[in-house]
Amino acid sequence: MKSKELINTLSTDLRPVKTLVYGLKNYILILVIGFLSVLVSTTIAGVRPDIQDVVLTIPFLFQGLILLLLAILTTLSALQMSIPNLQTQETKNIAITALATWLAFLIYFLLHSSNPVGGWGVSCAREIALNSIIPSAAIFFMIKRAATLNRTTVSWLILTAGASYGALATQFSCNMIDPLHLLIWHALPVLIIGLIGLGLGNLILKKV
Amino acid sequence: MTQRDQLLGELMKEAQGGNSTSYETLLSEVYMFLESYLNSKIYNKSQIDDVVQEIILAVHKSRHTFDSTKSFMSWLLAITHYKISDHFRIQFKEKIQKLEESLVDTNSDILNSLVEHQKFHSLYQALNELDQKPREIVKLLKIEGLKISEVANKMKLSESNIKVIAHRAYQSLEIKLRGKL
Repeated sequence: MKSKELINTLSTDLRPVKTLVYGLKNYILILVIGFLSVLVSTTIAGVRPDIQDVVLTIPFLFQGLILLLLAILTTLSALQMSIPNLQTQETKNIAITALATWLAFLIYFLLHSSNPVGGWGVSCAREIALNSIIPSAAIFFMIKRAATLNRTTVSWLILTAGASYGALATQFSCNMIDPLHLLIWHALPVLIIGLIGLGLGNLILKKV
Repeated sequence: MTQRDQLLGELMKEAQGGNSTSYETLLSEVYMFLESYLNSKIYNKSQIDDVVQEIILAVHKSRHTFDSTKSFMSWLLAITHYKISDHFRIQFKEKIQKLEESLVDTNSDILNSLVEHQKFHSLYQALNELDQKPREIVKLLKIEGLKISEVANKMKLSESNIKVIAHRAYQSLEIKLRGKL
């Protein structure tokens, strides 16, 4: 088919469409869903008994802040990257920097830890995975109608955002503060969930 | 935003509402822009029309995401740039695949000629292991292509004798080659 024929066919079969414009309302809605899921999962799993002692410590605060930043930035970036003229690399790059900072922070503490014990944490990984479902699904359903060009990147962002909310929630219920444990059972699941997203991109998001 | 950009944005807004005339005008404008734009990006001119069609289809599929308060051209260029890199990515993959296939073909050709060479070498070895008379008879019959009567004359032997010697030589060659091929 020649381009002229294609234009003719497309304009003849044209149907009105409902425009999809992301505004502040959408961003806030998706963040509220994310934080509500953190709140609900923390309530269900229960807060760690020594929360009052650790909540103001630098490692806890710093990690919490990084995860909060990662969750917000990956969510915003996923939404932005699903609309052609909103695509910016900045938000995504800041999100990647936040993720790298978290890993660097954990490695730094691991190297300066006198006795890293690790500790079994399958329950933490499972909790992160479970807690990531609702935020990931919410972002996915908001993006589903959009026109995602780079499907693998957006899918990575969606699942990384979900996993970040999950890791944020798990931070409040997990008793372990050992950096090796955090690296293996908190950070690694976030990375793995993100990698699963990379693979799922072409399956779950429609091609433009 | 330029005046043209604004005009295209207006046309898209009308198209979003279902105005097919505006949509046709818009797509024709987009087509003309893309044709000249892609000319400087894609060197293989026969592929330009395919990429233009890909982009027009992508514009159609994502027309609901255009925000009329923003630039139409930046929206179009975002789609265009992605589709161009997608095109080059596919091209690269195809080239790699073709290269791999041609390497496999070349390898199989080399392998076949090696096998032929090996067969020839084994046959030559087996032939040289025969006694002089049967070796000479087989060479005359099978390599030089002489008739039995001609070989009989040349070797000063009877035709039936030639047949018997040749038959024994073939049997002997078969036994020798069975272990080598």
